[in-house]
Amino acid sequence: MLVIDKFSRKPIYEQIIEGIEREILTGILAEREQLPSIRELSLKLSINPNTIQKAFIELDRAGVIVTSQGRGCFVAADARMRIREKFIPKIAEIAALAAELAGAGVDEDAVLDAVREAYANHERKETKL
Amino acid sequence: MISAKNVTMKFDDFVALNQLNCDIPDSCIYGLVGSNGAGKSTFLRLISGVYRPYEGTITADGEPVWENPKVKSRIMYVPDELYFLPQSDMNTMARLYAAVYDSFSTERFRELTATFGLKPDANIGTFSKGMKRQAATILALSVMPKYLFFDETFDGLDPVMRNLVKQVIYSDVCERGTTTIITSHSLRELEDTCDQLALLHKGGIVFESDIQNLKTALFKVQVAFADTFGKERFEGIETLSYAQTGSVATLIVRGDRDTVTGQIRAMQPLLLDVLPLNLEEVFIYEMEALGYAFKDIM
Amino acid sequence: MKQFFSGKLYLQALRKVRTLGIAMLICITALNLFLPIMGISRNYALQDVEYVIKNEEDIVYSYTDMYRPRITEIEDIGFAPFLWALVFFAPLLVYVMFSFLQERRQSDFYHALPQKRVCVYLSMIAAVMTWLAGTVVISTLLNTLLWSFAKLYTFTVWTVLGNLVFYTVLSFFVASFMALASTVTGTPTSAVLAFGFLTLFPRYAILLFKSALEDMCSILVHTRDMLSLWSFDRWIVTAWWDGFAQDGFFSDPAVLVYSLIASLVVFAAAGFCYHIRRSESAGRSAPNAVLQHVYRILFTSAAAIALPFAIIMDGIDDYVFLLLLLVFVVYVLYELMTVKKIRSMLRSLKLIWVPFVVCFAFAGSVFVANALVYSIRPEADEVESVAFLDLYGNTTGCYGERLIYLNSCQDPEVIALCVDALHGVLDDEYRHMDRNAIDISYRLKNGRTIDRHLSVPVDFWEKVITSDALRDTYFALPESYRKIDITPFPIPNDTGSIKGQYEMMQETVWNTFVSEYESLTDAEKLRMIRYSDNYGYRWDGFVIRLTVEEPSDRYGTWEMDFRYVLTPDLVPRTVEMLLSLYGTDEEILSYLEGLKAETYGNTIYVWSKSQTGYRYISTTADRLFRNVSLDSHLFVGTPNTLIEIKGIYVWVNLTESEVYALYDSWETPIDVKVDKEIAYKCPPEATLVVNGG
Repeated sequence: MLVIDKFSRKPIYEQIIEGIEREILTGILAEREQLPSIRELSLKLSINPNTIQKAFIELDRAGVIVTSQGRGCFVAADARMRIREKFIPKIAEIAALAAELAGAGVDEDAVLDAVREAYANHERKETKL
Repeated sequence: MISAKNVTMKFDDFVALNQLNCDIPDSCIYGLVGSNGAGKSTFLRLISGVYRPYEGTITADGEPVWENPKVKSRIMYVPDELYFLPQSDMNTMARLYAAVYDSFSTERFRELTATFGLKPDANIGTFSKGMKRQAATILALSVMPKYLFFDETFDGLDPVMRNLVKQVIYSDVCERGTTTIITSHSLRELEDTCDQLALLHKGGIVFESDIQNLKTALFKVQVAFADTFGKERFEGIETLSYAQTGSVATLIVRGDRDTVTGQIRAMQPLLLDVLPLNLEEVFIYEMEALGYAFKDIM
Repeated sequence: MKQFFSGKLYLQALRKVRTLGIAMLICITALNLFLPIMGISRNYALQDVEYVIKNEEDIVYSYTDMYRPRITEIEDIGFAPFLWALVFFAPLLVYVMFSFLQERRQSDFYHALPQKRVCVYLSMIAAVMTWLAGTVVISTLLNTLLWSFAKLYTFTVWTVLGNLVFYTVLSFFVASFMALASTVTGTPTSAVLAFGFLTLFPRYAILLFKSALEDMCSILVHTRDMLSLWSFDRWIVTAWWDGFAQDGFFSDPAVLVYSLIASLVVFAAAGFCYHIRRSESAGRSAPNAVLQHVYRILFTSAAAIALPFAIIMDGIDDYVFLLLLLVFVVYVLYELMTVKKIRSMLRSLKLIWVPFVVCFAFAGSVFVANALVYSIRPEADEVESVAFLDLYGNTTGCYGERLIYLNSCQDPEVIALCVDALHGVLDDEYRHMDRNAIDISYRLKNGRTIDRHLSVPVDFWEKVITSDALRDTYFALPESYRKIDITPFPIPNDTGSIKGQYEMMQETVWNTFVSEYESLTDAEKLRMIRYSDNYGYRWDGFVIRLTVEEPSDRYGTWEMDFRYVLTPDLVPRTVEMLLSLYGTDEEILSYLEGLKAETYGNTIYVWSKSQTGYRYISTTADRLFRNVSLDSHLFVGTPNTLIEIKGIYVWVNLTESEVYALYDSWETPIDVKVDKEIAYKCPPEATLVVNGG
């Protein structure tokens, strides 16, 4: 399910990290589940394995995955929580964005509605699964 | 790991490489760019043990490469101008390599010739240029070396073949920690495949970096302010390039993106866009910063 | 060991030149088989291998003489085209093997292989040697088998082995220079030029030096110095071009040993050069700019030394300026041919003066060598012994003189004479005198030997032979002889065994002569010797001809012939003895008449002079007497036929039809080599009856 856009200006390893995080969040990768091997991913996506390894190292450092010597990489037990922690700082982005919108004179409720809508959609998706 | 220290190489009076220093870590896929005549092929020949440097040392796995069969048996060099034994077919060449390199795998050879669709008993002299490149690549991959050097090989392969070769290389990197060096004219090509990149110019490594770092270390910032401002407003931010028209400034910045974004946001700009750069753009700006005009180089 | 040789590379190398190797094998084997096959087809009639057929019209013999590598005796190596083919293919094989050093892509390919350079080199050289030795062995063995199968020649294992070794060493020798040439250059042109230079220049330069020195220095003995080893007829590549039958290679194993060692040394040098070679030399005429200068200068110097050589030999003549021009031309051409760029050629001109320096050095070295020779001036007390050299084997003279030439002399008086002569020549004292040439070898007490060719006054030799030490030697007569011939004469007494009496007679005559001779004075002895010496080849009169075997401390045993002319004023008793035994014409005739009855049916032998020698006819006495009336032939004209009857030799003049009438059958006679002894008994020019004195 990982999709990598080689022509995007976003570095590939970032795309991988985001992709894996997305898979964990959407439940495609369950907690404690083993991640596909670097080799597998490299061949499937046609990407330099070192790049993938770099992504894994990042994920490991963030605690999202756990590397076990000789056995492979596993989704951490509390991966979702970790990811969530990564996303929390992004609230500042919303704040900045809100400030921009406020400065442009956009209606506050419209913004809040949008936020609620997004969360509601997500709930629906979750229950469907 | 391959290590070149203070390597100088001369051809009569012409200095091809001047006090070059370079370390190529294991399992890395290392890209080397440079204009024609910059010394890429010379460098590869030096680390393959074909040339001996006038000054400096070249070691692989800690041992010097020159006249060292033990080390050389782990190295396979695919040159820019290919040579095959006269009137030979791929089987003959495979026999030679099998005799000379302990790690040669006949199984892989058969697999690859089948995959690439080349006839192993056909006279290589009748092959087209592209097919010859494929043949050389197959033979090199069949040797299963620890160090694999492709001198502008990929430039001559079609995209399908290129992809197939990449798969094999990736597989080798994962399984055996193969180190690969690829030279090319095209940054685009290397960007896809390599994880390290270096620019060779005027006999030295001008630029060497992890590709991902390259792509993330520099970014473009477009910012506008209500009041009048100048470059001095961005003191404290490492700026490689600064251009301003009216109230909109375009900066090329080196640093951590989030940090710098935060810094600028704190200045209350009217407009703020932070954009990543592609590899060529990164190169151009880095070269400018170093004092070269990129068009001179490429 | 694995470091220095790789079996796999070796096999690869064998394969690499297989096309050329097979072509070589086929060509050389064909050449080697061509002659035995021709020999078989022509010579199947030959029954007896003992006779040597000598008839220039016989094609088979001239072919076999010209072409075959004779496998009869070890000394008998004739001119052989298959050796030319070997000398051609050997360096070609090496050239092809190492041609990868001349092109960048190939050179990079081989240098990238994970083998040490020594290993690559040795494996390749081993492959070359295998092809060469293999070709030699196969072709020579086939040749030998074919000759022996046809029973045309005999051979021994040692002969064949010797030939194999010789041919193999020859091929290695030539191949080694090409190996060295290939490893020090990087293009086909420069490799070939280097090969030519390396192979030919040393010998050529020394030859030039030697000739110039000998021309300048008149006191050197030409054939006996160290440098004679360097002439082209002792060079393994050319020594067999003239069918070096007599002084064959194996009578001078030095040539073989030197060539073998030289080839190994050169191969090693080539390996070393390959080891230190820079890979980027491929495709360049020389590994770097400096060496390009060096190679050009060396090559030009080869042409350049012809200039001082010509000036020393002939002085400044018109063609000398052509040689000067030649130096420029060669210098410029070399650069153009190897580098192919006019700019480079123009730039190279800055060093054109260097070959001329070499010229001066060459000339200088000749002058220095000349001065050195003249500076060697031993004193009498430094000389241990002297010997007189008979270099060309043409010293006529008496037995005693030959003895003097054979043995060295340690007598102080003789040494002093010789040393004075040497000093005299060095000091140019004899300029205005009449002189003779003589070659003297001085052996010094410090072990050195000096050979000198001296022009000494005419009385020098007289002083030598009349010195106390040598006088007795000079006048000595042989104490024993292997064979003696005295001009034959018919013996009128026919009782007993004529032959036995004949031999006894000879001994008596000799003994009489010896006793008379010994009572002569020195001056008289000298006269006899001189007269015999000056007698030349006139055989009339009484002449004793002796064949003597004499040991010498310098030549082993030596067989010599001497003549003593018997004149009544010096040896009257001997002459009288002979005269008394010598019959008159009538006595001879009547004796021969008497033989008619006695020898009826006996086989007699007749030698009749033909265009190319003597025809040998075996016939019977009755046939002779029936067809030839001896009285009308015996003393008439110039005899052309020699008849032997009962140990007596008679010369007669017969016509062709008379000769043919003597034949037992109508077969065409076969020409044979006539035993020289018989012919010398009385050559046709003389009449039979001669009076001595």
